Amino acid sequence: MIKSFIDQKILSRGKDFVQLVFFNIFCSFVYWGWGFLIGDLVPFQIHDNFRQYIPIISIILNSCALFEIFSIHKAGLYLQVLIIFHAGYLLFFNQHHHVFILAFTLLLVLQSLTFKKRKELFLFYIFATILSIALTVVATYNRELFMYNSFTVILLSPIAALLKISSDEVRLLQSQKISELKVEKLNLKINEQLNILGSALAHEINTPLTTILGYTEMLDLYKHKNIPLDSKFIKKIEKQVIQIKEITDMLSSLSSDPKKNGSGGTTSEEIIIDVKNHLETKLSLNKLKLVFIYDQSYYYEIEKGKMYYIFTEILKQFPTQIEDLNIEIKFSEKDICFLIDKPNELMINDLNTMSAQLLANNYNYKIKNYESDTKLGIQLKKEDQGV
Amino acid sequence: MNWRKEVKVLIIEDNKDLLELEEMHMRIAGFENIFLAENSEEAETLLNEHKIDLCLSDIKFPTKDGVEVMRNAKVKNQTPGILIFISGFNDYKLDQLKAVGACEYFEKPVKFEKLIQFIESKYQELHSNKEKAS
Repeated sequence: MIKSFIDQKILSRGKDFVQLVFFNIFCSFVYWGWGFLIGDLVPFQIHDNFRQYIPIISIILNSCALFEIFSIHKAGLYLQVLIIFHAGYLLFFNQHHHVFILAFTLLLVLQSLTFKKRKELFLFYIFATILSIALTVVATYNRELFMYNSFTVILLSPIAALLKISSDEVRLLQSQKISELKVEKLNLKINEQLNILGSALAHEINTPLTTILGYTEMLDLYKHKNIPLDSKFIKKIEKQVIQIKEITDMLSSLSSDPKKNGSGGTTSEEIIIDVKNHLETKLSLNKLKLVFIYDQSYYYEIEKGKMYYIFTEILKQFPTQIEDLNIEIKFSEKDICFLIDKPNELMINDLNTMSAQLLANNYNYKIKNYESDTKLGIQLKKEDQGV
Repeated sequence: MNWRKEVKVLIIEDNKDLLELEEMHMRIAGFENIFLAENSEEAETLLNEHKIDLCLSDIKFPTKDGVEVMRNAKVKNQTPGILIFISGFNDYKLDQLKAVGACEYFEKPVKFEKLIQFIESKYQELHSNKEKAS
């Protein structure tokens, strides 16, 4: 139960909050320790020989509290220095001096003022200050009552710590919210820039497309209305295509992976990696074993886009619940063979459908069904090689 | 078709190749009085100098956009009889374009055959409205 409480209320709120809690617990311990010892309120008998070391111990404990105070505000720092000095004064002179009471009070007031933006802490410290002043004044007339001042410290310290935790948590949440707002603002700015980029690109691409379309209409008019054919029409179309290409090149250059900016030709290794990644991502196959057989020295002139399409179309035809799908892709000088090891009848029918589909899409590869004793597949031959 | 020889046409387009092409198509369609502007400043000058009957205008220009040009023209009572915006990307809604006097917005790429057909139908509509009014 304690563990779940700690997990829920403390650990789940993140590293910063956990640090905050433990730091405050430590500081409370420091204040308690000092209060208990000075006020002689420990639940055990303090040996007389040890008693003389109490002020030294309180100096050490309050010095530890400097870690917290130093990180927060200077008034608190001065307060801690004063407390240490006070303890030192007690050590050497064993007297309670009125000057220290006044200085102590003034610094408590100053400390509370530094918390003025944190309402709960501010009110608490005002209350603590008034109480402390009252008890200290009383204690100057009755030293026995001095222990109640220490008792006040014992009571007030953990309350202050809890208040500070909740106040710090609010500040933490506020700073998180500020960060989120900054991120949101940045995202809005990015979106705005993307919108501008998108609109500019759309305009820059649509204009040459209009020119291309316009000149093709001219070619049509030439046929039907005896408009004289000007060879510059073709050149104008070419010019617009180049213009579009420049824009797409610019877009490609925005990509972080320069390897993606390939031309028509590519190495076989690149094809293999690309095809495999593409197929596994696009088709979400569970078990796909791709075996590539190729001659590393040969440079294949293959357009990547067509490769993706062909292989994707082929694999789409297979039901994905097939396990252990072993496919051999064999590259040679003349053709690409896409072979399925020990296919079943379902696959054989599918392959015929695939061939027809690929042919219908007019790719410049001729499709032929490939059969051997154990393998069945599709052979893609370049058109100029013949089937 | 004779009306095409008489009307004054203004084409506003900052892309020279497209400007040349639009002029060619308009001439083939039978329009003879064609004025060309490559930017918003030239367009404003031509609108001031001539009573333009038909205008084909792009929207995005480096300085003032086409809609702004037509807004100013409307104030000076220079809005062309038939105003068609042709653009690759449009930040304006059709209502906003119509508010400056536009009949229609064509998004690039444009088929000129359809554009000419629209101009013809729009002219006939305006002409018959004028006859009914008189």
